[in-house]
Amino acid sequence: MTRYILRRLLQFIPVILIATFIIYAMVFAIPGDPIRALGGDRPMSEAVQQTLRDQYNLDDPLLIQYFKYMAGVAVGDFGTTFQGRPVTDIIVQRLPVTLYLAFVAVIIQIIIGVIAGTLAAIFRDRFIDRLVQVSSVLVVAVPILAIAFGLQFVFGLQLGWFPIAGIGSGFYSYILPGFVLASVSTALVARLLRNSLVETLQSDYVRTATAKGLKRSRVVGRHAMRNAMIPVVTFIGADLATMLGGAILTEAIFNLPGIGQEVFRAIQAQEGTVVVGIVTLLVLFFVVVNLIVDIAYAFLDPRIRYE
Amino acid sequence: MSEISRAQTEQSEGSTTGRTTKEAEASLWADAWRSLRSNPWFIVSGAILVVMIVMALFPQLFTNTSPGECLLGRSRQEPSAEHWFGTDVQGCDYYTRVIYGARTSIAVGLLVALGTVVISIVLGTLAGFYGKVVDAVISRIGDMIFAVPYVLGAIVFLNVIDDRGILEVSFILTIFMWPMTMRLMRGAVMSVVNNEYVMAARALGAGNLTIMRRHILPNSLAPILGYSAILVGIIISAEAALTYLGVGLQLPSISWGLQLSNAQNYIQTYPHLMVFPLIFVALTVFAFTIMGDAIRDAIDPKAKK
Repeated sequence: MTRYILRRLLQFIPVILIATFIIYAMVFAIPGDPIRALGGDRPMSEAVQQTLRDQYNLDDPLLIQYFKYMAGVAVGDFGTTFQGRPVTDIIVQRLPVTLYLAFVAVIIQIIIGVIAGTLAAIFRDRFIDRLVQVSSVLVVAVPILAIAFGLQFVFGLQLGWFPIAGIGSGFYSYILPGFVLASVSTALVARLLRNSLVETLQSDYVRTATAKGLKRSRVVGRHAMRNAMIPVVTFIGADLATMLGGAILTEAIFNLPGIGQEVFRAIQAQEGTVVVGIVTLLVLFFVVVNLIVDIAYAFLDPRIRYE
Repeated sequence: MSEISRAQTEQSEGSTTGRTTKEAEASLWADAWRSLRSNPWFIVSGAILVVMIVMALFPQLFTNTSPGECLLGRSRQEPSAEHWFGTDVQGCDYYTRVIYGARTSIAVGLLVALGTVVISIVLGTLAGFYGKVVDAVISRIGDMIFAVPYVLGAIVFLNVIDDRGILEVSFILTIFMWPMTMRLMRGAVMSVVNNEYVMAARALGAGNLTIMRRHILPNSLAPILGYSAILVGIIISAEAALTYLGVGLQLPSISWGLQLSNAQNYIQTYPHLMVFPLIFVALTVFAFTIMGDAIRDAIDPKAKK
């Protein structure tokens, strides 16, 4: 197991380097001079501009700039903004909001997705199964923008149950955005679990378990679920990684001061170091989550051995 | 559908080796059409799409007012008999604005889907057919683009374009969309490239181009064509989201995304500004996605699970 983890960690290195380099190149090769933009209407003296350029290695070739930057990241230094504020500061301030949002979303995904998928599989072809299938088709087919504004409108404005913007009311503020971020994945989790559980329930060991006289709840809960959950775990893991794309939109609609909103602001303000810093962190997060998912397999399915 | 099947039939006509393929081909498409006709989801989504596409092509059929006819004096009126959807901030008839929005959204959706599908078919076929270096180069480029979340990538690029119209937005979306469908095409090609009929054609002396055109393409197009309608839905939804964020289309374009982004400031006071474009964008994306699901199930039963 240790050897497997080490090997996987080594494989991550090229993935991380390539993904971060693309972002770096995209952000720093785009036209426009961030230093000149920094001065705004009042032009800065050449000397000041030159000092700043040296400080951020802007005169080096792109590849050298990138390696100098990554050398910093390796020791935990994500650089500073052009105003001199450490990017790590911004991350520490913004990340909890996004993590909280992602956490709420994953919980919703697991609770609703798993309950709906299990019920649909147990009552296969009955009303509840049809209901789960139709509603999952509907949720996937409607654009996320419509789901967001729809929830905001009905539960936020008409019923007044939840706040529609900001994080002023703690946990309550995260419920609507959590549902929005989780919506599509919840539907997919339900569908995926239903199909895999239906298949598992027809297998021999489930029949054996039933024949031994075990209670239905134990057959489904202990014997069938463990195997049926494997594809679901992979999906949820992979989905965590794509949440950033969703977080940019969700945080914009609900005005949450998270990392998605910060990335968007930084892109518009051409603050390359902030963009690259946050994205690098997210790529790292993505690889680590994937590794954890793979290790979780071994616990769910003892047949899987990593050597 | 019928156009595709006609193209397929024409393609295999006139070739002696293609005769059996032609009959199999024709019955495949006929089968697909038969199962589609009896699918209620297909009928419903088809009806919505016909209305939306007519709306996009001939908005004049739905309204007599011009979208540019705005009077500040009647700004932000509630829906009434005169203005069915009320009026917006500029005092334009909102019903007209929403109707004219269909053209922009559907144009972006179809343009990007067309570009993506064409690029994917060409590159996917090359990668799957030649393998080795060609495959490695195409697939790695695809992987690199795939590694960047497309919302993020699109925002970075769109942000530096000052003047963003339908073409600019479509171009950027295409760049980030093609790797996904290219993989689909590549996989389909790889699954047929070693079939006996391909080897037979090669043994008979057919050139690479002939093999690709006559044997590979007809047998590997189903997955990507089945996916293309779903793709249109994804694109329309992405365009609306990017425009809403402020990096997509700009005024004077008339777009649902722009209407939503303006309406958000008035969500408490004038909710009708939000509700109407939202219903239209939701219906359109819904129809394309459902239609795509139905078509995919019909022409590519292997993908159904």
